Formats: sequence, structure tokens, C-alpha cells
Amino acid sequence: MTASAAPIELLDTLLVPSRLFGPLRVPASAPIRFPDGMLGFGGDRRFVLLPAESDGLFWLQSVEEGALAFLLADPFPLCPGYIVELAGEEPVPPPLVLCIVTLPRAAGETATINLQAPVVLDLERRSGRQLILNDPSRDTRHPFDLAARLA
Amino acid sequence: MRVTNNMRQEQVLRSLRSNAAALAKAQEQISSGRRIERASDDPVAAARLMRSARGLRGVEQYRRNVTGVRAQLDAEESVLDQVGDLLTRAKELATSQASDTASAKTRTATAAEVDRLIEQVVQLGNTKVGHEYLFGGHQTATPPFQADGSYLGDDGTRQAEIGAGYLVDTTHTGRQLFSASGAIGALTSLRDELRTGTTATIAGTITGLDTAFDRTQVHLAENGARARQLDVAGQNLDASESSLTVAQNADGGISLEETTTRMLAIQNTLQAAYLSTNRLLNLSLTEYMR
Repeated sequence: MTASAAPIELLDTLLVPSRLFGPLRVPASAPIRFPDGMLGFGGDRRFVLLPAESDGLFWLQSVEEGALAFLLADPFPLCPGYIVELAGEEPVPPPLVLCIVTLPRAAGETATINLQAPVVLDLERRSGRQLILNDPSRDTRHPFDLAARLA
Repeated sequence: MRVTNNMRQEQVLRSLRSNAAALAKAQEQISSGRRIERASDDPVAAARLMRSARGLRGVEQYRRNVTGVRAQLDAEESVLDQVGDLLTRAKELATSQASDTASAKTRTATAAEVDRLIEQVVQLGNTKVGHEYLFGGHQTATPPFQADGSYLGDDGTRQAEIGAGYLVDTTHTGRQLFSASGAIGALTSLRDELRTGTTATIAGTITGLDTAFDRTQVHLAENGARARQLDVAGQNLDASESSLTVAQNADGGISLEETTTRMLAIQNTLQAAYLSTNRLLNLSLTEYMR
């Protein structure tokens, strides 16, 4: 896909070849660095966070691997009483804690969210990591009504 | 610190969303004369379900690796539980035979029982999962333990690849679990002292049994942590694959680049990126949900 008009050159941007959204041009400062990658995807260390049109939903798109994107959701409204303990002092501003959504594979199934392994994002310092909570009772496939959130 | 909500960030991000929406409106007015194909305009270009499996390098293979490693970790956990039980039994025997109620006769009989405990530990050390011996380090084709408890395996760390360039340690070596932990040594000492030792020397073996038991618990904790890590990696493989089934048709004529380069002249580039995704996202997901 090439633009017919001369593209306006901007400094300090980079192109994220997203397979999901097409090529995205973002500021060079936008990528969030995951020093350990995401569990199972250790080689992909940089992601951009894109808020979806619905509140509480986001996409985490890999910068290097265009086909790698996670759908994330704010877990707290979906799971009352959900608490994530982080080591160390409270950074200012506080981190964004989101959980990975698995979409239903067939009609009639619900989307699920992984409460056992939240993704913690420090938007100020542009860093992120995925945690495994020290609480095996937290569901890795907690069902929730995705359609209701999109309405 | 405890995190119980994302309310502060949501406020910031909500304003970004509404800025992006306002920008979209302005842009539509500016470019009303241009023919920009958009997913919502063109049914053919509307989001179609498309598996981008090829883009996820080898995800199926990684999934298989995750399943295989999980089986090994489960086996290791079971073995460690059983070793713990055997050491506990040995401690009971040591305690009873180090007391005044014991006699030469009972000690001889108990030594024979401890010999059987050692046999069981060796058997556990030679556990196989599928065609592989689990606890020989990289020596997976031959039994790592001889009957006398000596270790013939190596100290190679077993690993599996569960993502691109992502290696995880799987099971421990037999030396770590049975030799260096002191399990075999402590049981052997107990058997020998029961045969030829005194009350004091029999009692003296209890420390070694306790230490070996504690080390077994440490290995169990490591095993548990690895199993949880593996579970989450498997979940992520599932989740990212399912996200990618919501992808637009590449032939759909969605001229994002045109739209975005225009908008870059107007506004912050990241907001422009949000905008282009917003247009696709809602349609994609609702199409998918239908």
C-alpha cells in the first residue's frame, strides 16, 4: 500500500507493520520495552499499547513481529476483588495492570481473561512485564462477557 | 504495593480516545472529497476471519513443546513427593531404632527395610517419560542410577524452546535431586549404622535425613514455579493466536497509509495510530462475535 500523495516526512517516528491493523506510524518514544518479553514470546521485546474504542480494552502490538498482538482488558471491573501485589515502592504514576484476553474459538463460547498472569505497564518509563501471581487459585481462563463491553 | 484498579490511568487514556475520535471527525470533513476506502464502507473489505498462523513463527511447535515439558514436570513433582515420603519413613525408622526399645534383631530387620527404601529411590531416579530417562541430565537413553546409588548421568541442564529464542529449564538432574541433595547418602548411612553402628550413630543419621527432606521441598518449589511459568506461556500462545483470527482481509483496500500520513500533519502521531485502529477494531470484533 503506498500513498499517492507525497508522504509528509516526520522526524522520530517508526513504522509498525501490524498484520492486524495495517502499517502504523507511531512516535519513536511510543514502544514499551519488555525486558523479558511476554511468556512464550521471549524474543519479541518491544510493543505498542493501543487503546481500543471501548473503555477497558487495549491491543498490545509487537513492534518487530507484525503478526503478534495481544488483546488486553482491564481486569478490575471484570473481577471484583482482584488484587495484584507488586514488589517495591509505588511508582508515580501507578502502573497500568491489564490481563490477556483469549477470544472464543466457537460460537456459544465466551471470551476469557488470564487473571494469573497480568501484564504490568509503566507508561512513564515505557517499560512492561508479565507477572505470574503467587496464587495458583487465580484463573487463567476466567470467563467474561466481551460482547457486553463492546456494546 | 497493592493494585486494585486502573482508574487513574483510565482517565488519561479516555481523553486520548476522545481526542482520537474528534480527530477522526475533523479528518472526515477535510478529506470528504477524496475517495478513501474504509472497512465500514466496503463490505468486501470488511473484517474477515483470517488465521495469521504463518505469522506466528512455529506456534504449533512451541505448543507441543509446552505440553511435553509439562508432562516431564508433572512426573518430577510426583517423584519428589515420593522421595519425600521415603525420607520421612526413614526418619521414623531411625528414631525408633535409636531408642531403648530397639534390639539387634529389630535393627537388622530395619536395615533390610531401609535397603528397600534405597531401591525405591534408585527406581524413582530411573523414571522414564516416554522413551527418555528423565533424570540423567542430557543422558536420556540409559538409566542414570545404578543399584548402589551411583550416578551415571551428566549435569546437563534440560531445556525446551517455548518461543522464538525462548529457552526454559525443565527438570533437574539426578545428581541434584538424589545425590547432592543427600537423599541416597543419608539412607545409605542409616542402613550401614543399623547394621554395625550404635544408638548414637543411628541417631546421628537423622540430621542428614532432615537436610535431604528440606532440599526435596526446595526442588518441589522450583518445579512448581516452572510449571506455572509454562502454563502461562501456553495461555499466551492460545491468546495471541485467537487475537489474530480477527484480522482484516489484506486485499480489502483499506488505505490506512493514506489516511495516517494525512493525519500526521495535523496531530500527534500516536493518536493517529489509535484512530486508524479504532475504525477497524470495533467492526472486526463484532463481526467475529457474530
